[in-house]
Amino acid sequence: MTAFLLALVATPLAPAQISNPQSGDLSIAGTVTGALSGAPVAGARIVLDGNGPGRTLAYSDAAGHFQFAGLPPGAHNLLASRTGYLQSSQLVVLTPGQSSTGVRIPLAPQAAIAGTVEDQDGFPVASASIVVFTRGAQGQLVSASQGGITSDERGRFRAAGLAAGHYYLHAEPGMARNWDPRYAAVYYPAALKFENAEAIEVAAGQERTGIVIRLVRSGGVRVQGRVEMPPGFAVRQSGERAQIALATVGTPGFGRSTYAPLADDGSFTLNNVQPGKYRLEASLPPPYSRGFTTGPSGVLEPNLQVGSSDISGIVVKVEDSRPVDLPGSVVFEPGTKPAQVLVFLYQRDSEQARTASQEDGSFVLRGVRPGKYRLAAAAMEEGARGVSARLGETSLPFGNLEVKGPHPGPLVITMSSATARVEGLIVNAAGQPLSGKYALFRATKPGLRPVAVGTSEADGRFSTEMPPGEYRVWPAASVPAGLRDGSAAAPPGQGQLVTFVAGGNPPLSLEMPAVK
Amino acid sequence: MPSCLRRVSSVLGFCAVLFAQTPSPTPPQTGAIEGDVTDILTHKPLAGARVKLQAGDLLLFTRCDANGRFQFPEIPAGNYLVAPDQPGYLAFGQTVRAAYSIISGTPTQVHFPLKPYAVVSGRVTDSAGVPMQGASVELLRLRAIDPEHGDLPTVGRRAIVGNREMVVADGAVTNDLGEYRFARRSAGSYYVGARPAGHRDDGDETERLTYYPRVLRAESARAIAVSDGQQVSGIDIQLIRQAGVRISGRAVPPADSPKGRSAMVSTYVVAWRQDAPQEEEAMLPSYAVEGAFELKNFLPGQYVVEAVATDQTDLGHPRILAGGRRTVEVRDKNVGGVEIAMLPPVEIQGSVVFAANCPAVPVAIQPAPFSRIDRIARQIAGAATPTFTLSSLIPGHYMLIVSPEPRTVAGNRYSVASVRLGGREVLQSGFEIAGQPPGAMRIAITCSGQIEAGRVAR
Repeated sequence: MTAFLLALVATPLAPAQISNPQSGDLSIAGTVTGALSGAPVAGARIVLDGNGPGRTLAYSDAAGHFQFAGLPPGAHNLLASRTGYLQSSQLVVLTPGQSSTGVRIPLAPQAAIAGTVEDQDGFPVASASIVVFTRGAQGQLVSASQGGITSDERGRFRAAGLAAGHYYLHAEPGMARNWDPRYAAVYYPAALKFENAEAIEVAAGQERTGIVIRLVRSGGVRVQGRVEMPPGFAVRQSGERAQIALATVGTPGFGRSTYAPLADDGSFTLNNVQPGKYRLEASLPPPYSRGFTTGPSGVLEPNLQVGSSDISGIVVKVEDSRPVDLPGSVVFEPGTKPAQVLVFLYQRDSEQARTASQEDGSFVLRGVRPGKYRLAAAAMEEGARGVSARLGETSLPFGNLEVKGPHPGPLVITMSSATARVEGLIVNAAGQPLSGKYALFRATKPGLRPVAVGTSEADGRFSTEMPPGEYRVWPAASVPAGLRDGSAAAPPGQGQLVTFVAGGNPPLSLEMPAVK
Repeated sequence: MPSCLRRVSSVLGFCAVLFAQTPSPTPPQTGAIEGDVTDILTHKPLAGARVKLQAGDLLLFTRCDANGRFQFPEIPAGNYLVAPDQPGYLAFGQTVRAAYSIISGTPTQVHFPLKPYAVVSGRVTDSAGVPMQGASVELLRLRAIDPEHGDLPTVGRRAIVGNREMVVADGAVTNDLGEYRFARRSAGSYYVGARPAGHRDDGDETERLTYYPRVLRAESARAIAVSDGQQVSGIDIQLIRQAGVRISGRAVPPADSPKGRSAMVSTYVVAWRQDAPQEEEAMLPSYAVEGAFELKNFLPGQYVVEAVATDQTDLGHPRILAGGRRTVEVRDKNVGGVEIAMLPPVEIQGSVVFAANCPAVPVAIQPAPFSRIDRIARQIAGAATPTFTLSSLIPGHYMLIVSPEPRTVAGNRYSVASVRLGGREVLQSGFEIAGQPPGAMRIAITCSGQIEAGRVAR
């Protein structure tokens, strides 16, 4: 049910697709073989165009052969999998009239690491979480486990689907019955610190069994403090209790959290905390929880350093960050035709809220959490755009909007279809035209369209459009990542101030600084 | 540290007795617990079993000796949770008072007979006979149908067999060898079903939810009888691969629906088996383009096809514009031309009233079958707010699940006496929505306080 909902929400604007069976007269045939032995692999499962509408399935026969018929020209993806081998995919491009019959899909045999998790007395540890990780290309630790690995009630675990390589194992005691909470998470074989971890080497197709991870009873320290709730908030709500989470920060290969409930006065005690760096976060019971599960609210500080002695007196202040409704309206500049307007709020380029204006220009952005946003507005038909906005009595610089308090707003957005056409030339120090460079424009006054970009053609010329107004203009070899949110400034000593009027403007000439 | 040596404990006990007999204004503050852990069936001692002792911040562990004996000598007198644990046995815990006998001086004695658990395990292979990693395996059992729920869909129900329902008792995922394992089970009769890994969109011919030994219908699954401590292995299932048919047609919006502003309207079509609405078989949701839809992979049976048009303008707050349902009989051929007339949703205003002697409690109200699109939120009415609103009801037949929560308060057992909609009793029959508001709803709740209280008081 959740998956359907997600699909619904995630693709509302995507053109809807009906799954039509693919049709054509081409075929793809080939052989699945073992990458090391070269011998045919029978019973491999091959999925054709796994993401496409006409997805089909075939199995390799005793000789490793498979075939798909009735295919149209174009690119087709083959994904082959078989127990005991690593999954492998291959792209086959069919040109009209040309079937592909000699496809070879080599499958590399998978390695596995299996064993048990035990406590110091050799008693099997059930429900321990095991993470397998290895060094990435830059030496960083990356997870190599497929999904979660948990020891069974006999303490046994099995990590499969591994390529040849060196692996580290991390085991964390879970919530097994009768568990001794003084046990800490360890790296294989029994190391509290990663420096003492041992790597396990596996060859392609190798099964390393009998690996014993031994948890260490280490005690740790006690972390005590108090959570300050916002006015009017109770620690207990509808039978549930607020809690404090202590999450590891910067631990190689994994992250984990421990929780403790808050007492009625907001105080908490976290026992058996191992040395390391942590983040403290309060989470509140429903109906408040939505406002508190993520984001900065309730986070004391990202770096709580726990050493070998108890810590007390920590105060975590929780802010009210429940989502609010933000009402507003759109107004149109003289000469701009009124139309329905879509209003968007973004955080880091991901849409956080969206709505459309009513016929009278009013709108309500629903479920907006307190925080900083980038505001955008676009008319559905006429191409008018938001050029300025006010939140209550405050003009908004560059469309940056901060929502706070229980009743923000109203948000008034001014729409305009007026456009300045800007053209020009990008040259080097010798005056020669440069292609593929960018002319960057950033508005100097509050507005909803803070930036514009022009790209130079082969003759060095660019043209672009933007709302009329004063801009800082500079040429660049690439578009800086922080341009949109205003964090990328013009390079020092550069950038001319130019005011553009609606309609045509005199051509610009921008000189690229010489590359040092 | 606790020790498993009985002699040490006896000595301690003796000392404690001496101590206890010494005239003193403050009584002795120490006690001890010792005992043994055995197999409840064979009465054999469980050597090496781990025993936990806990009270507040005090936490001790010990292991049993070769005779299955353990002891916690010289601990502060008082109550402790004592919990033995041994692989292969169900966990167990009991509150025990630590003391020394005034007469004999022996510590508190406790006997823990542990019950060995049953295990059901096996391997899932695909239709080519190759072990399948990531297959979802479910362990099922039969239970009596809750009369208060009746024929309403129950989460995890796979079939109705006489007056019992087959429901999911546990779930597992196969490892890379195709193996699964259900441990910590009590004796009983179980069934096992497995469905293929990942998305089941393998075209028209796909692997199906298959029950042991190799059947498609849960009703035909073979029972696996296990006794306590029995390890049943080899419950292997080869998934059945079988072609399904397609259902296609059109979702027709209401005649007076606005034409403009349609950029963010999606129409979404799903289908489910009428007799097993939780089975989630063979339904791939489809976005209707210009009202046309096609769903695939249906095996023969009776299905409910539902179309819902949603306005997605407000991010995260979809609004139901219209919807409709139809029942479709699927045999062995594609079913085309299914027209689903969509009508605007309606609202029902309702209220909950309690019988005179019954204090108000929270009552959950949920129309069923709820759609695959989780749009009809469960409503809670009761003590604080006696009124509720059921919104977004698209055309279809609904039953109402009304649950006082909790069902029993202070000896009062709550039950639903009546549900009236527009003046008509609908508790048993359910109600039909056909695009017109059906009137107000009134739910009457009673409680059987005296009887329950009498039984408790005896």
